[in-house]
Amino acid sequence: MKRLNDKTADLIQERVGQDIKTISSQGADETDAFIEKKIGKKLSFPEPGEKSSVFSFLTNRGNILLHLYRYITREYIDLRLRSIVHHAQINADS
Amino acid sequence: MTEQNLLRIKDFFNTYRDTILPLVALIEVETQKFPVPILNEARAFLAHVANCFDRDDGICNGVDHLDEVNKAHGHIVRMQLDCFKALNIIGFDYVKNFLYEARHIDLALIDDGMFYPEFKKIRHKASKQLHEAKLKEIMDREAACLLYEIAFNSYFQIIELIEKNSLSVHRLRSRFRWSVAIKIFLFFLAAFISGIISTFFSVTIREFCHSLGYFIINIFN
Repeated sequence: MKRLNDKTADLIQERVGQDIKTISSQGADETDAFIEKKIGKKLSFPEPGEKSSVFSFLTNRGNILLHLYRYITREYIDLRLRSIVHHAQINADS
Repeated sequence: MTEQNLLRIKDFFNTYRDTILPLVALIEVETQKFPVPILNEARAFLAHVANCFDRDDGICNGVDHLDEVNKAHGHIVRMQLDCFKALNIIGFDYVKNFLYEARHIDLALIDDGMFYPEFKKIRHKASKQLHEAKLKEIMDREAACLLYEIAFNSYFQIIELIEKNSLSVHRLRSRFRWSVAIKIFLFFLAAFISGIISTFFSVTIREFCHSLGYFIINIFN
């Protein structure tokens, strides 16, 4: 599985104030308490019905697909499908 | 559960601890809110892992739970993707807000003209990387994670650049506010002066006309 790169590790250390090793070794409630102390207020849950940009981006996955349709040509999709079918046939034969 | 699946679950938990927990902490610091969609993915992940263990004695009962393990794997990858997407959006929104707040100032004046080319270069790079990551997500979600991470690194590089130059941006903004205030003051001053002058002249001209009228009448009389 994936591991975070050095830049991300440095970024987390700088902006959160704790390194990855510390965060991963302590409980989530301890991390939250540390963050609340750092930002000077309680972490809150989004209000019911509130749609932050993050939330809408994560839930409306269909939008991403619609966005992508503008960038991918039909020929490209056909080509990819053809190669997938081709590889599947090779695997089936072997 | 087989030994192989158990090792996979162990790997998932390692990923959760070493990758997702720090990223969630970073999102919390940046947004000051709990990232509910990501926590929801964590709940779904735990549900699949819990199904791999026996209900009564809580141990592996030798049954192959490949489906459950694969579903748990899907959720852990989605959790990573959601973390990186959220961080990309945070970076994107930050840059968008900065551009909105700095819409009246000339960005080329910041840091003796060094800021804007650098800002433009990294912003272009970040949006290109994000675009590539989105395209990659269709074919290979785990590879897309790597690209999303690189893109969010670039966005945070822009944030650091903006924060480094925040003092000169603030100075330029306050200079703009002063120039607007001076313009408004000069407008009212000019209106006031023109009001006085026009009143003076209108009275003088009226008096002049009256005098001229009397003079002409007197001549004819």
